[in-house]
Amino acid sequence: MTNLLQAIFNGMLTGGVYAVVSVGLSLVFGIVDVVNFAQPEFLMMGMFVAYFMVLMSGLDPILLSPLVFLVVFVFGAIVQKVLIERVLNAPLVAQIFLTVAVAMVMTSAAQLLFGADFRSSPTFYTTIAVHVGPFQFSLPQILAFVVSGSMAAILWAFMEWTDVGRAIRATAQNRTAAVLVGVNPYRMYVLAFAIGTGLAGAAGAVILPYSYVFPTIGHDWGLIMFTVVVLGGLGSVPGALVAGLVIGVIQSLTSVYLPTQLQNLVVFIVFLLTLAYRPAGLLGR
Amino acid sequence: MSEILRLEKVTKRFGGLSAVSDASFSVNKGEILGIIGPNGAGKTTIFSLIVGLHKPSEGRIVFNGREIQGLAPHTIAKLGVTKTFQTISLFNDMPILDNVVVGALLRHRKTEDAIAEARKTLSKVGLDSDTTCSPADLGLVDRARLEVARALATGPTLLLLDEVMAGLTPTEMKDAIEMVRNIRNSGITLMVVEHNMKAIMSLSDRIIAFDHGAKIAEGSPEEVSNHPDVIDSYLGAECESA
Amino acid sequence: MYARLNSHPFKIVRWALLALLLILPPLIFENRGYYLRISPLVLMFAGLGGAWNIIGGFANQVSLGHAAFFGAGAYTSTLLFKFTGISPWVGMMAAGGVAGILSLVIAVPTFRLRGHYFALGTIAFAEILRVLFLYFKGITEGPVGLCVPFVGHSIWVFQFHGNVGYYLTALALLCLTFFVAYRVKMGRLGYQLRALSSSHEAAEVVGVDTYRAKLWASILSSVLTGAWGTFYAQYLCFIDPDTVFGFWTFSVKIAMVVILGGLGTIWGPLVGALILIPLDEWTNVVFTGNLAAVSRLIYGGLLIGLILWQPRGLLYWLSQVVERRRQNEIRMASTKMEASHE
Repeated sequence: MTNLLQAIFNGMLTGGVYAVVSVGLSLVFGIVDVVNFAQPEFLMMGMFVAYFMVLMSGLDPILLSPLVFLVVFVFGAIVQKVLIERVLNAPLVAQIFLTVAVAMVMTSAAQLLFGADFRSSPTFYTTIAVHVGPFQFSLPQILAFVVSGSMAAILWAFMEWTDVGRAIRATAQNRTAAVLVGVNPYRMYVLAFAIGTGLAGAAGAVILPYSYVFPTIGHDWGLIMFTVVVLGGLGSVPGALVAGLVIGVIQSLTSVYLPTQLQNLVVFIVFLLTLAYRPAGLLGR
Repeated sequence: MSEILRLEKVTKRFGGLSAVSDASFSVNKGEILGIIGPNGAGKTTIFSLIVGLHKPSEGRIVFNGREIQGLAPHTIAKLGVTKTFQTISLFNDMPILDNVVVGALLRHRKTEDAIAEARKTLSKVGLDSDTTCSPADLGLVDRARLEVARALATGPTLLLLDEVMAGLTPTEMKDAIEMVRNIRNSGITLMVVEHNMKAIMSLSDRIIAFDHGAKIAEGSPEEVSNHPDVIDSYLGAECESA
Repeated sequence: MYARLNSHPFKIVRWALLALLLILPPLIFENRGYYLRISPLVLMFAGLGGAWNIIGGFANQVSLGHAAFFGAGAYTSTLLFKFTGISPWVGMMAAGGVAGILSLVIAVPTFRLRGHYFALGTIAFAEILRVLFLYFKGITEGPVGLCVPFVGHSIWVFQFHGNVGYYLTALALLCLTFFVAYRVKMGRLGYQLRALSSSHEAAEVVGVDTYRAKLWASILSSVLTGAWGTFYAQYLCFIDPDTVFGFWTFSVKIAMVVILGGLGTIWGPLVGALILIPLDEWTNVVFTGNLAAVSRLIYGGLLIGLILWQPRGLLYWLSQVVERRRQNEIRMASTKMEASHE
């Protein structure tokens, strides 16, 4: 029984991170109407940026995460402005393959710059475990969860209470009406894309204490991200949060009962089932 | 007069909103039935329900004695019912001829036969000049004609025309009315939605008026146009303040 | 000029030139040489692209998981050959069959989906197969991969010394693929697919059974893809799940070949393969070791450039150019006629 609960709690911890990484993807689809197939690569970028910042400054990656967010935010804004904006009205194939190509370029650029080696950035708390009753939790994972939760909360506050946030939501709900009240939709798209990718980058910084960094790490995360987003409903931010937790738990429980290689199999099957029977997701728009 | 289509207490709800409430009426074989009502009255929804794009929340739709509610649109088309789209839904990536060929393929197995049929239909509606250009190059009138041609090519016995005369000049409208009459004379029953009162009055054998999803009047054009509820729905009720 | 280009004698010349071009490689290249080694790969990717085009180009259902059918085909014939000794030719037909059945399986969750959702579903499907084939090591040897036992030069077992045999086989399979694509495009199914990709609703209302049309397109596409999987297994004599079910190794490449050459055209995949595959090979040779990622970088950059410039591919762009010239000629001819009537 304890094993089960431990697995569930662990799942929720990883799920929290899944949620934050995927929220950006959901945001971009909801507002810009583009599925960013390169989102996992922005996570990878965030991890590398954090890694080198740690190397140079000696500071903790979690503390550096706002800075990492900024760096990736700017990069994401450029990608949206220079590339994605051009294909907003192009056929679907073009949109899909543009972001696929961006993913390719980012991965190979990372491979060229940093080599394929696995790096890690252990902190003083990387190996600390917190004991609560019969359960034990890895401290870096707890911190990642807490910081992810805060990022989600800040995002929510931003979207709900600030003028800019409301402008973004308005553009998603009814573009024409938003334009009529003076919102520049293209600026909203840049903002949404930049925030979405920035969040993925910041999440990368936050998981650095307990993860390896390498250029192709995005490939492992890719399908999980998409599953979370589809389960939560493409375009629904709270959906992505709930779905992130759910997927984290599913994955965790699977690794208890099934061999590790099949760990993601259940997630993928859940993905297909969601697509088949409830493509709008749990809380989809 | 035999009945070709009958709606029995058809209701359609979208979320909490009733687009169509308790609609019951029949269409007689060979007639032109006009449907009028202000915007949002549910006219296009009724058409969508009949051709199978939506399933009614309640009620039955019977065509030639057979229940068709819930069937797929292509099945209903095969049975002989099709419609044109209010917001013109042409296949813009295909040349004009091909648009009509798609419709003709319903009754003609071989592509050559379908193409021949498509050409015939295009001349029937008066669109036989360069058929290789894109529908996007056509003017409003011709696009409406193309929609009608495509629908006609499916060989329907019941054709639903949804505001095909929108935006036409008086001369163009005369031609359009003529075309609709010719279609009826070729043996096809028609249901027509139009906003232009003169057009629909002169075309229709009978008219049904809708407002807020419910039927409010039914009868001959004179009866319906003088019906107080109909006048209210278009012009609004008398102001009751002092 | 356009009218002349399309006239009968000129058409025959075009076909003759093409046939000559295609039959040339085995005649002029060395049997075990470099060029004849990559030529069958060019033909293979042209064929894979052509098969993908049937649903990706004609029906606008962008699949990013065709590796599922490819890998399934490769493993079907190879496992059959390995465990029962059945000739890979028969295995190829079984491979097509298995791939076709798989496409029916994937149709259930994905067919009601449009656009991005469909693409995501196909990715997941290929991944599921990859994970499964990696896991069941007992049968598939897992990540280590499966070697096709080489029993000697024999048409019967689909094995040849040197590359000529493979080239000719690929050519035959390519002709079959393009023939199927042609028949689909020009026939009933082609009209229906174009219609439903333009407007799903309108197509239904005028009698197109969209589900069935997409299903047929999917079956044809997957069967051909599975057959090519067998070819690949026999040609390289080695398959492993990470490669044959790979997103980047096959799914993306297959689609890229079509996007480059011309989405929805018959010859586009060949044009795309002729450019992309030699480029791929060349960059792999030039940039080895640490610089291996450069080829991917070039690919990605090319793809971005292509999409920004001409998302529908080279042949589409060409056909637009030709179409504009034709319209100009018609206009000039009619103004000339008007002038001569004055």
